[in-house]
Amino acid sequence: MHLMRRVAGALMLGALAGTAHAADPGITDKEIKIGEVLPLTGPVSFAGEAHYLGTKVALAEANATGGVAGRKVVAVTEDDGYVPARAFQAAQKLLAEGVFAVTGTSGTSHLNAMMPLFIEQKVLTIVSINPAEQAYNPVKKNIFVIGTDYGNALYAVVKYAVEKLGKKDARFGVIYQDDDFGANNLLGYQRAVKDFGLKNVLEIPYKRGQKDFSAEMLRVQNENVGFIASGGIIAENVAIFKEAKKLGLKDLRVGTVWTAHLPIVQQLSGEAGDGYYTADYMADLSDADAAPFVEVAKKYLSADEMKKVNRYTMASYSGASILIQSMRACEKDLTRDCVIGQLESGKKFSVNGATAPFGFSPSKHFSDSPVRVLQNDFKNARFVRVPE
Amino acid sequence: MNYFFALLGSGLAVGAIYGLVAIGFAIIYRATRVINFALGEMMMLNAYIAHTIGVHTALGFWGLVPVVIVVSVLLGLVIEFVLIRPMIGEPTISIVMMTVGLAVFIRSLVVLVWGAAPLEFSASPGDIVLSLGPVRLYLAQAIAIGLLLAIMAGFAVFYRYTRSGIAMRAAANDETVALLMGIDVRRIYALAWVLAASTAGLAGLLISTIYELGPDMSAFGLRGFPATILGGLDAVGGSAAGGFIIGILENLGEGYVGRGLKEIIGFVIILVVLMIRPFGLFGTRNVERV
Amino acid sequence: MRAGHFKQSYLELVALTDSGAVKAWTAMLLVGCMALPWVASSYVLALATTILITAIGVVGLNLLTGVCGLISLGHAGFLAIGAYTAAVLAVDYAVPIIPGIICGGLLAAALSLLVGIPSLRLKGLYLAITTLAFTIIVTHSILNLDWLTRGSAGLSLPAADLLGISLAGKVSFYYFSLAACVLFVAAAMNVMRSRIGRAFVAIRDHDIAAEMMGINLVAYKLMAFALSAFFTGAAGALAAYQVRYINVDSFAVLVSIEALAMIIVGGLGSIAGAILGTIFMSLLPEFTRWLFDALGSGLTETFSTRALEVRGLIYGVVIMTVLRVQPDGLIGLWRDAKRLWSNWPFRY
Repeated sequence: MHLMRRVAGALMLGALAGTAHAADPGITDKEIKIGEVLPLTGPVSFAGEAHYLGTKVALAEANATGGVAGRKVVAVTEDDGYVPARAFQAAQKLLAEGVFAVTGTSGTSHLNAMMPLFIEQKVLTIVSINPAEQAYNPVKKNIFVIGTDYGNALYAVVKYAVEKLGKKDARFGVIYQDDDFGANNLLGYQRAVKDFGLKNVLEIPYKRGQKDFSAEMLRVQNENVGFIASGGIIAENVAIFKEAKKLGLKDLRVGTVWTAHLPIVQQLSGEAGDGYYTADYMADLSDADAAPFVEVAKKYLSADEMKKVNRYTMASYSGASILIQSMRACEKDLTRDCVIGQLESGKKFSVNGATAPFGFSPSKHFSDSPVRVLQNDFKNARFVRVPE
Repeated sequence: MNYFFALLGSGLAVGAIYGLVAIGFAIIYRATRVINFALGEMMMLNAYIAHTIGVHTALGFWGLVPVVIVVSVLLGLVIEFVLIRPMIGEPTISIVMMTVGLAVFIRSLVVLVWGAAPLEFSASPGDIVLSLGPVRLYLAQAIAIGLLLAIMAGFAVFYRYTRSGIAMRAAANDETVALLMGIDVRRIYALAWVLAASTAGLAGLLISTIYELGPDMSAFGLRGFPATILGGLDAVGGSAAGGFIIGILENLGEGYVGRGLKEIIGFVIILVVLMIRPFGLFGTRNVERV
Repeated sequence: MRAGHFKQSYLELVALTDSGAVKAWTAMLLVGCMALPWVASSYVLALATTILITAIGVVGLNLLTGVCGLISLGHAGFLAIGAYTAAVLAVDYAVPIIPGIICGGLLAAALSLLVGIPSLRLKGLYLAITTLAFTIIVTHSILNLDWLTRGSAGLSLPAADLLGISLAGKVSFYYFSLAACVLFVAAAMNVMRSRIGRAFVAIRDHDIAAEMMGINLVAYKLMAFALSAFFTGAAGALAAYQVRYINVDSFAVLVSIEALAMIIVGGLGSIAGAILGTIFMSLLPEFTRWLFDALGSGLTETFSTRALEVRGLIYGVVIMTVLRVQPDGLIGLWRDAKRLWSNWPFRY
């Protein structure tokens, strides 16, 4: 009996030692694989494509400077077409192939679909494309989120309108998408209305993919709204600006979240969009802060690819970059546990000015990056930080 | 009251687009008894080709109109010749599925060739805003309304007075008899596809100037269904009128009720119309019941 | 001398099969399916589970489109109803998986009558349009009935268990799906050889003749529609348990079209064809990916960044080619091959 217990104990010890020494998935002698699930097609492909490029830059930069622990870092990208069930399948595929970490997590509901898998298999996950609250609240040991809430962004523009644009006594309204993204926007707007005691006269939901906003903007005109918080993505914002111009709403100011902080929105809305406000925790590409990032990106991307670079590229670059920095700090013990330890050590990571330096702690896996309000400067094709 | 008229006016503008799409369904259905589920996609492909031509030749809106018509005639002919003509005589379900397959194909093709992000369409007839009382419209929207009315009138004349129009009605009425009377039914079918492709092409051009040029533009094809069902699946003028009605109802629904009603009101109308008046407001009454 | 294979009695005609070879093959296929978890990687197993679940819905759609000749472009709506029913029941009322699946199917069938009654009274393509409208109304309602469906946030399902056995693992869920698939396919086969199934075929082939034979057209069409909605609803419920998270984005109109593509490619009106089509179309993207990988790395990048478009392109081409060249689908190809084999060197 005694002997058997001893043998069993030895076996268990052996087994434990075995697991401790076995490398985490995705690491071979030559390569470290990281995975991404991105909406490369479908309605938000602009974000997926830009994100893909950000990872590409970060990995090219890392591999050009010796890789990590003598290994090349490579990314495996899966497209989910912005459909949660496909995101789930793609995640399963990535995990079956074996990846050390996941840095691309698609949209909110897509992350919701994949998260149980990531938690169950303890995959180190960095959420940078779409900072969803479910991912960091409550804290999950292996999931880190860079950014802030959409609601905080809309809150910031409304706050700016109240404090700097003298809109305190104006009538306020919000147009939001009928999904989780829109719900998030609506919450931020309602919080601002409550905090500043604003006159909220309109809350208009719209269906994803809606093209025509004439009736919505007529309502805005009819209610004599002075500031409209717009939770549109691309086409929706463009349509809203164009309708406002058509109706001659000169005193109406429009505030948006960072989905409007994209060159494409600026181009498509043309003069009609001149002067709209947006809020983002990522710097603008024209901003002096972001110059180091732009320099690195130009080095590793073709001219065609540079055209697709936008804030999502900077977000994904930030995510991949902190992963590489932490992996390099763990060269001796390249395990997920060590990298997680590095990430949550409280150290401030800087990412070439793509966003303000940020860090995490064991109780807070969320960077909660500060938001800046930007204004569309159509003539110079850039977004200018407003004076604070 | 101003508010009401403003809603009415912008509803007409949206409705004109629905009408232009719906006419395409009606022309093809009337001649061949097939619903072309690829109409929205044909419209989109046309608009993308027009965009590319516009970029390379710097043609303006009015210069692109004949281009669009030529492109859509070719497109209509090719599709009819390659995909539809060999299927004549097959069960309707096979022909309809052919159009569904075509729709999936074009949708992917467009994204592969032109990318998924919306493109800037600079060939607009001008950023001029027309105002009539409380109603304010962009020039392109006014053109859409005018164009739809003109096309309605044109088809009324076409079906009544021209040889091809009468032949088309005859073929729709009874294919066999029409054949016996010496009408080349195949040519009539091709003509129907060409006409539908042209109206859809113009709709595509207008949509990309009024809204934007993106791969989800094909959704407008879907939005044309309520108009054509309401107006009558075989009534060309009726479908155009149906477009106007749906556009106005949507805008009034949003203006006075809200809650995203406008995006589904058309589809609710489909169910209601089929329950009480399956041939639509202006369609022929001989919809066969089983 | 018998010059061919004839059926001489009514019982022989309605028997599921009278061929020993078919029985043997079926048994081998089942054994193969049972053994799969021992040899397959977890991704292959997940893919296989998806195929099994999809097959249930596609066999259901085939009852409507292939067997009864009615087109639906709205089966994604039924899939959504089934998935949401099972999910809401599981989350809010702790209903176990099997009653959840049955309720999902039943609710889909009940709601199908709502669309079926106005459109199936009419001849022609009205059902295609109403079902399309139906899908859009269903997704809109799901988004707006927050209190029931959690709106856009979607629903996470708990892991199911069956008589104390947890279905959380991939292997156990695979076996569960396999059992469900076999059950539903057997049910469909039995429907097809019954009076009801033969009535469906009669309606498809010649509705006036069918009516003369005493078949109530409206009632039987409605029955076909409801039955197919039941299958699809049940598949939706199973899919919800597989992913354990649902949200409206998974039920776009494209899903209905993919299902139609599967039955067309497999062969309209045949159950084996529907299953073959499901397998073929589900593996097609994997196969193309493999092909692209073999062709070179530049293409691999195109494929991974444009996977859905390439897949859509292939779907479109496959649908059109099959309709044009091989209207009987894969199963037709198989039948031709069999005929060629047994009649060779003669044509027939």
